[in-house]
Amino acid sequence: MGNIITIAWKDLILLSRDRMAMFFLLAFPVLMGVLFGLMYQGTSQPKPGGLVVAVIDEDQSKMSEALINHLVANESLKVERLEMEAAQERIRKGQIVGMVVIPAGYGATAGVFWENDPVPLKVGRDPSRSAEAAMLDGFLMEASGKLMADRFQDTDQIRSLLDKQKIALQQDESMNPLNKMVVGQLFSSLDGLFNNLDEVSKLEDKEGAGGNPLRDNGFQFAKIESFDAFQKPTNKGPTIRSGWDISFPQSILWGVMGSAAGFAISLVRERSRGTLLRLQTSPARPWQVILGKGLGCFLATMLVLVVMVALGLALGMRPQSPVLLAGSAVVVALCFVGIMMAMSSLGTTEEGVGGAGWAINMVMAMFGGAMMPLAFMPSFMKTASDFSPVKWAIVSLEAAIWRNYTLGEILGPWAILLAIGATGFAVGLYFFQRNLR
Amino acid sequence: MNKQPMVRAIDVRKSYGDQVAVNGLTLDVPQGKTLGLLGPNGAGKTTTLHMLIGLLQPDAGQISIAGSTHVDSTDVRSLVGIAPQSLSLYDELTAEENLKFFGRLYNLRGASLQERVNWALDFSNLQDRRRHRVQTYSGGMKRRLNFACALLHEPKLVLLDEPTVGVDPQSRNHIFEGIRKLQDAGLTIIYTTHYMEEAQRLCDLVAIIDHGKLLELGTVPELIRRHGGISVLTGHCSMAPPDSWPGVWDGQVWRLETATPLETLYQHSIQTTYFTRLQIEQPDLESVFLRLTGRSLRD
Ligand SMILES: Nc1ncnc2c1ncn2[C@@H]1O[C@H](COP(=O)(O)OP(=O)(O)O)[C@@H](O)[C@H]1O
Ligand SMILES: [Mg+2]
Repeated sequence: MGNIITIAWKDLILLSRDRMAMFFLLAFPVLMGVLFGLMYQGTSQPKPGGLVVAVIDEDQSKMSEALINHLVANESLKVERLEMEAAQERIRKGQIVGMVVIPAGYGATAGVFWENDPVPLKVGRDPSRSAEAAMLDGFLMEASGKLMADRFQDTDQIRSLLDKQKIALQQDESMNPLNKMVVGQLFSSLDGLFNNLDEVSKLEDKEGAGGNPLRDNGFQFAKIESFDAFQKPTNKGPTIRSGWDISFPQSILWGVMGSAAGFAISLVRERSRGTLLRLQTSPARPWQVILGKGLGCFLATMLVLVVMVALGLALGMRPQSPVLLAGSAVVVALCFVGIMMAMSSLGTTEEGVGGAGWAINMVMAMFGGAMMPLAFMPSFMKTASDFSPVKWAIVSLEAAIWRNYTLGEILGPWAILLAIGATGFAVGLYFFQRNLR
Repeated sequence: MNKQPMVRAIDVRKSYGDQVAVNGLTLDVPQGKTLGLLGPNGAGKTTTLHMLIGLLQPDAGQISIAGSTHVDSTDVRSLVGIAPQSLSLYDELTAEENLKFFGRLYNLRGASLQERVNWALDFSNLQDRRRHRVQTYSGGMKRRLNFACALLHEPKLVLLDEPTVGVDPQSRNHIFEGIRKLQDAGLTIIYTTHYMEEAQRLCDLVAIIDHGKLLELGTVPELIRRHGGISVLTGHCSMAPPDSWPGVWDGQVWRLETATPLETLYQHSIQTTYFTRLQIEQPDLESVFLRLTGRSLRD
């Protein structure tokens, strides 16, 4: 055990001195988390094309009216003001996607900044149309967020941060061209995203001439609770309380992937720099070397998870189940230790493993929903996403943060993650041992 | 003198695919002796060392260290230290951090770890740079640290694989001094090199290998006597030497080939003052290698 800890500790120190690795481990996920968090509460999503939704205003306050106006202003939504029974009937017939119930008293708490227990919006959904319902959640988030988003809409600031980092990376000579290309690609897609955001907010500025008096007041993030529209509204089901709830799980995954790639590279580096030779000739056994690496990777991944969750909490993310969240964190970290091992067998040089590892990360991220939420993906991508461990990792985190999974429900994704991790570990170990001789 | 040898190799063979790297190597290294493995690049020196320490499995043959054939067992490993030919250090760690890390792997802890790390920093003359990262070191400093890392756990057998490659003369001398200290302390050392001066200067025994084969093994004087060939005496004189002297005179230079130059001078009462300049070219390991292989070491 002593040797394993010694090796893990050494790897964590090495990691902390690797600027590149630290950027992917912490800085990048934080940027992504904040960026997407803002997006979910600030501006419009890509057009999914005409979601029809009923609004039941039981509050009849200025605030509820403002919220409805924002929903109406959203071109992707067609809003109908209905009574509960009529709405349920239309949902049952599949004519509309869902209903938004603004309960009495909503206006009273919705306007109070940092309100701990705001009256939630209730979303009734057709259980068979969950993807569209997820989109509806997004739009609701956005509409609620608009009421207070201005403070957070300073994308210019994030942007200059990103630009700086981009230049630093371009000038980093120690980075190989393949990595540079992948990272460059990543930054340009972020750039595109920001351009879209800017366009959208310009449009909005024009439309909203005269300004919304409510904008300046500062609102609590939206609190949304959903229910099966065929039943009476209850408090069960997903509870999204802020854009951070959605943005953090997917952003955390960037750090997790960064940790896996970083440690895969460091394992290959041991070989190419000759230090593996010294490890092999010491009394430490090969399995201790591997477990030491694995432990280092596990701890670094846990560090990412803890830091990101702490930041999320500070910003307003409110996990439903801290216990399940801790469990998901451990399972996700274990899974990516296995993926790290498999990645390390992708090449024999640091450049090769780094390039191939990040290429795989990008694909896993794209299909797994770390770039774009699953709900906004075309259906073929959703099918493909089942093969991405990133998807199951995000599902596990979301399950604990806002999906309200029971332990029984969360065991499925956990089992998938552990199976992927174990397979990756076995594959990586096989090639590692084979290359020793 | 019935002590078992520290290292014994019997008909050891190793190939990489078709490439035969070590081809039937048999040798003993007695305890407390320094063996030089002398051979050109690609001779199989590194492969031999790696088999001795259990990094590579021989295709055939037997290796024992201190009487044990389990060369990759923990017990044997604590007896052996290796300074690999390719520097094996973490560039992003400091000298002290590198030493502490490797020391811990050999189960050193606490005060004894600190003491050994200090010793190693003294040994490598890196005390004043102990807190600097290895990536800021010169080639010579890295070599010295690479050497010291092999000694942390006080091994009885030290394998040094080309420990002076790419170092400045000062570091080189420092490394030589270090080796002398280890010799005085009674350690057994195997030293690979393709510099014959180093083998001649440092080693009790020299094994000459080429193409994976052991060509000769012996002390330096033995090897020279057996294979070095003759010495050449050349003297410059303006008058023909007396007829009683052996050798030939071409009008300016007198030249004599003999296996025993000093005895010859004495036997024939040759007056060295007769010459304006007298040179004795004695054979060295280079000429031994040339004789054995028909090639120069530096090819
Ligand atoms: N990993 C390897 N794969 C293939 N051939 C190798 C490998 N290592 C060494 N060789 C070959 O084996 C021979 C001996 O190499 P080596 O032991 O490194 O020689 P030396 O240390 O004397 O320079 C050389 O011809 C070299 O090319
Ligand atoms: Mg060599």
